[in-house]
Amino acid sequence: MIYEDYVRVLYINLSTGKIRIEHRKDLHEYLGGVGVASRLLEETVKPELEPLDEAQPIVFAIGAGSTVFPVLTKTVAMFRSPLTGELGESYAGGRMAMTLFMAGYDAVVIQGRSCKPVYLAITRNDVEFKDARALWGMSSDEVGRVVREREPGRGKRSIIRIGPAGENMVSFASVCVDTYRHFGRLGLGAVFGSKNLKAISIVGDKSIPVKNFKEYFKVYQEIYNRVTDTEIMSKYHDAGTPINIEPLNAAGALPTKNLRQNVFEYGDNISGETFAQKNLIRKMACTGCPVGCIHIGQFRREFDKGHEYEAVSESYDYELLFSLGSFLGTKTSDEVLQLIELAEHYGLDAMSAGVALGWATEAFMKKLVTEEQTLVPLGFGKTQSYLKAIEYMANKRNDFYKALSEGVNKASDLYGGKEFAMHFAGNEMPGYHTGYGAIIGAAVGARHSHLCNGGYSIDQSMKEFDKEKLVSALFEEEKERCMLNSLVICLFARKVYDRKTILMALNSIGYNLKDEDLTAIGERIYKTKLRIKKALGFDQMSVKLPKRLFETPSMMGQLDENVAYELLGMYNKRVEEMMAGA
Amino acid sequence: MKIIVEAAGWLKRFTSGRSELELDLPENASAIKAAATAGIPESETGFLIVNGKKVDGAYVLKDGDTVKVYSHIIGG
Repeated sequence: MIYEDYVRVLYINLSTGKIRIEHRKDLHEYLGGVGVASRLLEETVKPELEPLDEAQPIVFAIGAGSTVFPVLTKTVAMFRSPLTGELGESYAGGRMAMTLFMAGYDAVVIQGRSCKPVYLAITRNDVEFKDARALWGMSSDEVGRVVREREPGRGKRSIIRIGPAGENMVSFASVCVDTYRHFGRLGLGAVFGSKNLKAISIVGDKSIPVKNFKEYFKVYQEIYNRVTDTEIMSKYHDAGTPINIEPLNAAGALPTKNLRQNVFEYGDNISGETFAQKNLIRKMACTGCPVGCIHIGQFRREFDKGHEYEAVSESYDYELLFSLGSFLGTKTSDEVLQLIELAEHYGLDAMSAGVALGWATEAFMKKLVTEEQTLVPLGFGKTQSYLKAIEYMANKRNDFYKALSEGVNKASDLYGGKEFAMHFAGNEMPGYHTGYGAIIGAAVGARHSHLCNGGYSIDQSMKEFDKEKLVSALFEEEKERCMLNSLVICLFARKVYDRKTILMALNSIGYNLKDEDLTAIGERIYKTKLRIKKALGFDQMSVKLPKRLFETPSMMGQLDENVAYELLGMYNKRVEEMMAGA
Repeated sequence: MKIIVEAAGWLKRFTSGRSELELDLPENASAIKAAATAGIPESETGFLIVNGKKVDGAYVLKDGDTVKVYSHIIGG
């Protein structure tokens, strides 16, 4: 809590229906966000039990200055991932951080399993367990609408929920936050489903007076002006991250058709510019953000004969245009939006869903699986087949789709095609074939995401390839992002929040931190995550990289598998040295 | 020498909305110089493609070359 020396944690047990609130002074040295969440996960996760066992926890945490300063808008979720079996870590914006902050909670730990479907209504100092049997089976949109109608607190409320994929415990099911944001990656939706937890409504209506308003306002204004009056953030508002399609395609770094290609011949049809011209209807912002980077696109759908149409709106980002666009050979922006809409309807992580379908398509083309198994003739660019396949995957329609719903790593264990199953330690690949930085970054990243250490960005800025420099850059960035995520800064704003700005902000709301404290916090959090990963059985040196990464040229040209494994070894040595000094 | 500069997507905000500009540059001008002359700041220049090939900023241009300028890859 700001101005306090403790972290306020709400514990909810779905099995017993009981709650308790603890003021944890011992967590204060983790600052907040991913720091606090990592410690709470380490305390409560059960390494000896399966990821979807009822005893496994879900942890949410907000940052040390969430919503108090601009762009500190996100909430972190931590859990044991059903997709990778190890560290689950995912971030979402929307209103959730604001509502938790104003309800007076820094973190929430959910354990147990309800005997019947429930949704939780969290308010200040109270939690209600509400019957959700009538909501079971609803899409995330529908359940959002019903909870909105039933629960009070409009404008001060966040509603997070799962769709049918979460109920069916698809390993990469997502959790939808306030319609347009998601805890997308690593299967939090399945953990919700395993607990019979359909949704959570959080109402935050507490007012927290600022103690030194003059100092706080000065700092706030300085940050606000940098966010709004400089070029740092404007591209995120303009066309948003979809502007990546053009440079990645031009540089030969856009994973296309299950990474059989690094350039997409229809790239211009799904570029940020095309979406902006043809589909963009609205931009939105998370609470506490003056940027507005959420881009809403619209397509027209015929729902009946006789010229009966409806307008359908969905949010889109670069990663979705990659996974359901270039990766599947989708030729138009309208078709990409159709695929996004269906993934959203069922509550699937659009990234893993697209990459899984890319593998399935190639497996079908190579006759590793038959149409009897795929039920539709999968083929790159065949959107109608993919629309069916998304439904089959979400519902685990047959043995093939049941395997696919566990991710490409497990599906390729059963059906073959490991060499083109595009994942890093079980997490489906992100949309950057930029070079060794992207590959090693995802392989060593604590959650195997491009966001752990920004490897793609290092590839872009490194003038000459140097193994030592690359490994050092990844290692230092991973630690730095642990610190940034203890504030749960939207990483789009990481250039606004340099060390000086972070210290200025935190110290204006009652902290007393120095630069070296931030370094120590980052390292402390990274070590905690590594301890959790080890306890859950992760071994960095056993990670196998799919051969396809070294067959299709990257932005840096053809990559050498031996060099990649050498880099993995070098990174692992850095980790071992740090942990030995722990 | 005559050089064509093409600005992709978001970068058009630096070229008054124009996607293509014809420039008259001195002999041996570099690709990054062409982008800068078109109004695109070096800090915003991610990739340069000359006649279909990715090049460094220092790449020396020839009369009649086309320089395509792309923004940095962005993300979280």
